Parts: sequence; structure tokens; C-alpha cells
Amino acid sequence: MSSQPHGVVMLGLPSSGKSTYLGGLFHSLKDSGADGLRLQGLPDERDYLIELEKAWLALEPLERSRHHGPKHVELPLLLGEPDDARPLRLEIPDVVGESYEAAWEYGQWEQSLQALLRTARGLLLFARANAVVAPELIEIHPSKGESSGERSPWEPADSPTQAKLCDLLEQVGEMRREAFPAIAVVVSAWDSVADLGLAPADWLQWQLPLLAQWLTSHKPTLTQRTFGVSAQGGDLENEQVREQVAIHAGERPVPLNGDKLTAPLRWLLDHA
Amino acid sequence: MSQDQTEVAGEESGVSDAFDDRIREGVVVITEDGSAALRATVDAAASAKATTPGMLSFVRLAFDLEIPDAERGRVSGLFSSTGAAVTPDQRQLTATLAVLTLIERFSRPLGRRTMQGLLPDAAAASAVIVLADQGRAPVHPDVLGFATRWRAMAAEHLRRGGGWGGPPELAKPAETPEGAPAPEPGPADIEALRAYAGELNQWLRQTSSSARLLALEEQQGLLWWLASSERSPSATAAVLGACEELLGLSAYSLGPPAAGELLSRRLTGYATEEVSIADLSQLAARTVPEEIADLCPLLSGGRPSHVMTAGVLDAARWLYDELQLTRLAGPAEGQ
Amino acid sequence: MTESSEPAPPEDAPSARIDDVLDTPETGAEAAGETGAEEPLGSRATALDAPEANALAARRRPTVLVLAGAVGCGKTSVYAAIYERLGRGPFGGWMFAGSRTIAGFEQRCHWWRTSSGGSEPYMEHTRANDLPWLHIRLRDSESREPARDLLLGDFDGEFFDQLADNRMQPSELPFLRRADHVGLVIDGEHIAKVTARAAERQQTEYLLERLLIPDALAGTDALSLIVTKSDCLARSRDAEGAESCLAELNQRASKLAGRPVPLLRLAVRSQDPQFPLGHGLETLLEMLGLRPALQIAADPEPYEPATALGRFRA
Repeated sequence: MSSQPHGVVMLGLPSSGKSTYLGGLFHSLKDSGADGLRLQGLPDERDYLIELEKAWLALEPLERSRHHGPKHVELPLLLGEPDDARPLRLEIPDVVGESYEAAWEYGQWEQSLQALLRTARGLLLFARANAVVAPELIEIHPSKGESSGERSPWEPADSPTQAKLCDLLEQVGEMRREAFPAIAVVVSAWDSVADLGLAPADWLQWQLPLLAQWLTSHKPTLTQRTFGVSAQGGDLENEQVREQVAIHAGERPVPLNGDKLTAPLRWLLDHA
Repeated sequence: MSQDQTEVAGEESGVSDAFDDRIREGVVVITEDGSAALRATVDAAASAKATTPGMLSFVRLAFDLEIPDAERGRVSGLFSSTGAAVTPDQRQLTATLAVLTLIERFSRPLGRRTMQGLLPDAAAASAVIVLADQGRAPVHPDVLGFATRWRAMAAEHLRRGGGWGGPPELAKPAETPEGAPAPEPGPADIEALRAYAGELNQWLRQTSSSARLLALEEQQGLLWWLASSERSPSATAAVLGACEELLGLSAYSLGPPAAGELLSRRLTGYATEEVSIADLSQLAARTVPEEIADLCPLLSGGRPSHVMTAGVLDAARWLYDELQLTRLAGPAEGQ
Repeated sequence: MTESSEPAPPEDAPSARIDDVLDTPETGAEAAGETGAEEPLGSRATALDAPEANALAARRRPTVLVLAGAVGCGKTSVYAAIYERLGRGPFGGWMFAGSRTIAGFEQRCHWWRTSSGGSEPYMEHTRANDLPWLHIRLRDSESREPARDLLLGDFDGEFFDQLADNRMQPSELPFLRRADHVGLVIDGEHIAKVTARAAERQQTEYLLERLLIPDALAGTDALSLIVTKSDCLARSRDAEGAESCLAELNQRASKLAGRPVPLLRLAVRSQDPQFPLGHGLETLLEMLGLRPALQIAADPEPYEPATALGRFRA
């Protein structure tokens, strides 16, 4: 096995689905694997992963991650077909979204996160499909009575999702002197928008056009692809859906035009 | 405009600073202190010992061409020697400083330098001109004017054998009053005579030097060349022939001044024709020093894709400039 | 400020280091990595200051645009509209390729959005001590050319008022000479109103004359006239008079400049649905794209050949 772990960093604002994804991914890799990717064995440090997996299997919403800084997660993997698999040590720390929120608001980065980003060989950029904050211009006609007319100063926290994500990428670019690794954009909670019938890349262009342009404009030096992923497998607030999902809790359905949990990671490993 | 405004305008407008106008290619806001610091950087870089490879690196940077990372690091280090922090990833600033360094070098007096001493600057000036011939744009256009001017001045400087004028004058002694005996020559008179002998000797050496004879022979050869008729199977062959002949007639590694004009006269018969760059490159191809192969696409076979044809006179100047650069960048000559 | 590990400059070096001009944020971050201290990676200010603008220019030559005009004429709105319009998708053949000052654009666009709580669009006046440089990177939609950096100078209109009435000299605003494009902003709303037209016209002429003082700009090529709030012209009760005024101003500018000066009409945040968000910006971006750089050339002192051979002409 290679002595150097293969680093993949998850980037995304709070509640964008990073930890839920990690829990579901761990189970998928452990259980049967997919996309020619599976666990070679259980990692020594696995308590955090088991906690995430438990919550995922129990269809429970994850509490907001409380740890500070990136939580070290290392997975020993086998990559490839069963008779031709090669071992690989994947380092995929769980980073609290607040770290990225602070990076946007203050330009502050934890040293350990900076170090990971500088050496990462792949980025998973999370954007939650049903939680996009979009810029909304004041209507041409007077407001419909909701606004008091009293203006409030700008708060960075209230900025649109696409602005924050682009800015994070810009800061990562500064760290890495514009030498980006492959970026897999993970549109999480894909089930919530699957009915629209759009491919994930088209959804990105529609809902996060600034980010879509940023990614396109960096080609061909930047390799990127957009995936639609549903770690939960559906809207767990809906009792009917919840019951359906619970029947096969360990294997969630892939929504229309969506991708398996392992797909973004496999793609990143192929494009490292 | 009112008179008041004209007066103000007259006060306000002055000669803008050429250095600041050029450094803006690599800077947005330039303060007085910042300008002074950058001037010191350029001055130090221009005053450092010049080598042909080093000067060619400046030229490549000035035209935003690639140079090896190690060389880029060396140049950054040179620009940082006055305390600045110019890093290799600051490409635009590095290119701008390279242009300013070249302009500074091309602005300095030639002094008493021989061909050996002029070689690095001569190679750089020729490289600038060659790249401009290829249609490439430097980070700042002024470098071409300075390179062209420098090359013409240096070409004349080397050939100054014909410009020494008559022998030095011997100072007349003070007049002796009528009837008074002629004074005995004193130590001052002997010293004056000694100094004059030295000047006369110097003049004799210069006017009968090999350099002067060489320059005269070169001129003679050029005149015969211009006077003789041109016989070539094609315009392309005529261009190649003229360039090689002119280079062959040159007494120095740095060709004669007005080389472009000489080629124009020689190729008058083809003045309205065009040549294919690909054909010219094929005909002229030869081994060039690896260090300058990227600068000489015609000779090295690396045809610049954006130029397909050129007028005969333009093509001739381009080819001659590449041949010139090849000669300068080749093994050093003892001139 | 984090201590630099650079060697001390030689004794005769100028007192100000180039680092003061070329402060590179990464240096601070890398040094922080060495010391173990938590240091901000880059400025979270909402625009770039001079050293940061210089650090950016040191890597890639940006096209510098400065809009010059009185307080309230709409300079900041033009910049905000470029960003806001790109936030909806590529336009005018350009796509968003990044920005070091996304926070700055967001802060400015905030006043146009419902999140501001306002009932109508508004724009805060730029203050003299605000950081001036907004950055945006654009690439052609077809990705045929490399991305281009734009630095947008967002300066307090008071500077230009003082310039116009001779309380300030162009040399005190060195960004004017650095700018590749200087847009003299004419407030279309004032031109449209008969009662405000004469004053707007006079102020424009004053500023025009000051900008065209020799050496104030990189060249007369830098200058263009930008009419903001041009939707007001369409609604003007004296539209003919307004157009005539603009034509005369354009003529005057062209005469002083010695060349045709382009006149662009913008209505970037109109309340009239006929003028969608960013109306006219395509022309502005096209102008910037067609001539991204304006260089100031100076010939060397003429050289008189000393020999007949040197003087030879074919």
C-alpha cells in the first residue's frame, strides 16, 4: 500500500450534507462496495464513522457537527475489479461547515484545514439542492407590503450560496497558486429536485449560475464534474417515504438523473 | 479653455516620467517610494555582470516566452537583490522589470567596449528585433525602439576606424619678445612635448589600426555587392542569398549599420513580391545553437503558425536578423 | 504584520521596500504556517487596497477601468450591475471566471436586493477612505481566449468634484494615468431634467477639460463618455434637448481629445421594464475586451548616424 494517503477534502457550507454523505459512504463501502470501490478493512479509528453510519441507518437527522477543525478520517480502500484491485489509503476528513462560513466571513482558515487543502488531490464541493440562497432583486414596483422600507446593512452570512462557494474556491486557489485538483460538485438532497428532470450539471447552471460559470471558465486546466446525490434517499420528513427507505436502509434508492454515493469519489480517484 | 485653466494646465502638464509610464505594465498604483525602489531594482539588474544567456532570458521574459524554472528563479533572485520580494509566479512584474532592464542597458553609453564586451547586449538587441519581426509583442513596446537604436549605434561604434579626423595639434610655444634670447626648454615644455608625442602615437595607431582597415574593406565589399547584379531562381532564393551574402561580407559579428536598407537595395527587383514563410524556412533551415532555437523559427524549422507569407523585404530583414542572432549567440569571436 | 523571513535590504536601498507596494497575502499565510499562528489568508475587506491590487497586477496585467464622475452619478451601480448580471448567467459573450472581491460586490449589490429590507433599489455612496479596487475575472463564453482580469476603480465622487473645480490635480490621482479606460460619467437623470441639465453639462465640461490635460491620462484613447440612468432620457419631457446636449458634449470631448470619443448609454438598474438589469453593459464589456490595455510609449532620443554607411538609405 502507498505510504502517502490520498487526500480528498469535502468543502461546503453548514448543513450542505457532508457528514451525512460520509456516513452513507462508509456504509456503502463497507457493505458491498460499488463503482469498483470498497473498504479493504475497518479503519483503526472508526468510532466517528460508526456514529455517522448509525445515524444514517436509523434515518435520524445528524446533529450539527460539533468538533472543531477537520475530524481525521482515513479509509483503507481497494480500487478496481475484485481480481485486479489495488489498495489505496483515502484521507477524507469531515470538516464542519462553520469552518467554511468563517472563511467566507473573515478569511480565517484553521491551519490544519489549510494544510489539507494545499495537498488535497481531489475536492468534493457540496451544495444542497433544497437550501440554495439565491439573490433576489427588489421588485420594480413597490413591495407587496412585507418590507418596512428600512434598510439594514449587509451581513456576509446572508449572502447567496453561489457567492460563498465561489469565494471559497477563490481562496483555495490562492492557497494552491491556482493549481486545482479535480473537483466533484455534489448536489446533495438530489431527491428534492429529481422531479424536475434535469441533469445535475443543468441544475447547477440554473440554480447556481455564478458557480457554474466559474467552473466552466477554468477549463481545461480544471477537471470537474457535477453529481446529484441523495444520501438519505428521500424526504425523511415524509412518513411514506421514510417507511419505504427504512425497508432497505442500508441501500438507498438513487433518484432520477442522480448518482450513487460512491460515484463522485470514484470519479475523483480516477482523475487524481 | 480659460486662461486660468491654460496656466494650470501648463503648470500641471510636464514631461511624464517614462519609467513610471513603463512600470505601470506590472503595477497598478505606483507611489514615489515604490517607484524609487523599482528603479533601484532595475539599476542593479542592469549593472550586474551581463552574459549572453542571461540577457536572452531577459528578452524571453520581456516577450512573455517560457524560460526554465531554474532560470526564472535566478532572475527573480536578481530582481530581489535590492530587498524587493519578486517571486517567480509574478510573471507580469518580472516581464516588466526585464523590459526595463533591457531598456536601461540599451540606454547606457557604449564606452570603449569591443565586440567581446558588446556581445551580450548585441545578442539581446538582435533577439528583441527578431521577435518583433515575427510579429510578437513585448510587454512594453519601447524596448524595440531602444534595441534598434542600440544596434545601429553599436554597429557604427565598432567601425569607427574612418572617423578619427586629422592628427592632433601641437600647442604653439609662447612668443619671445623681439631681440630676447629664445628660452631654454624647461621641464614643463618637455612634459608637454611628451604628452603630444603620446597623442600623436595614439592617433597613428587608431587611424592605421586593423579595425579601421577592416571597416574600410567591409564598406568596399558592400559597395561591390550592391553594384553587382542579382541572379536567383526565385524570390525565396534571392532573399536567402542576399541575407547570407550580407552576413558574409560583415567584418564583425554585429553586422553593418543600415543592414535593412542594404538588403532593400539589393532586393529592389523583388520589392513587390511575397514569399511563403514555410518555403523560406525550408530553404534556410540549418542547425542553430540550442539556446536560441526557440527564437529563430525560420532557421530551426519551427515556423510561427500565425505568419504564412511576408513581403520580400520584410522576410529578408527577418531572416537576416535570425542569422545575425545565430552568429552572435554562437562561439565568441575575438573582435 | 507577520515578520518576513526575507534578508535585510542593503544599506543604500530606498527606505520603502517594494514589499510595501507589493504586499502579497500569501506571504503572510505561508509565514503563519511557519509560526503556527492563525492568520487570515487574505483580506476580508470588501475591495483591494493598493498593495493587493499591485500584487494581482504583478501576476497578470489587469485591464483597469476607472469611472470618473460626481457623487451619486451611478459609478458604483455600474460595477455592481456587472456582477449582479453575471450572477444570472453569462452575457455579452462573457462569463464569470472569478473575483478576489466577491464580498465587495455582494456588499454593493445588497442594496438592490430584498435582503436589504428596502422597498426600492439604492446604492450607498462610496466614501473617500473606502478601499477602491474591485476585481473581476472574465472569460469569453466560448473559452477561446484566456481569462482576463478587470480592476474596477470605485472612488469617491468627491475626488472628481475637486478635480473638476481645480482643487485637486490629476497628478494627485495617479490611478487616472494607470487606467486603460477612463469613463467620464454623465448623469442621465440630470440631463433628462431641464432644470438640472445646464449644471450637469457645465460640470461635465469642467471635468472633461481637466481629464484631457496633457499627461493626466495614459492617452486620449483612454477616454469614453458613459451616460448612466439613460432610461430617464427616454422619459424626459424634453428628450430632444437632452439628446442635443449629449451630442454637444460628445462633440466637445472629441474635439478636445483630437479623436472620436465613444459615448455609451447605460441603465443598469432601471425601474422601467424596458431596460432590464445591466442594460448597456454589453457595449461596455465589448469596449474593454477590444482594447484591454493602453500602453504609454516613448521613443528613445533620436540617434544621428555618424558615418555615411549608417546614413545609407535604399
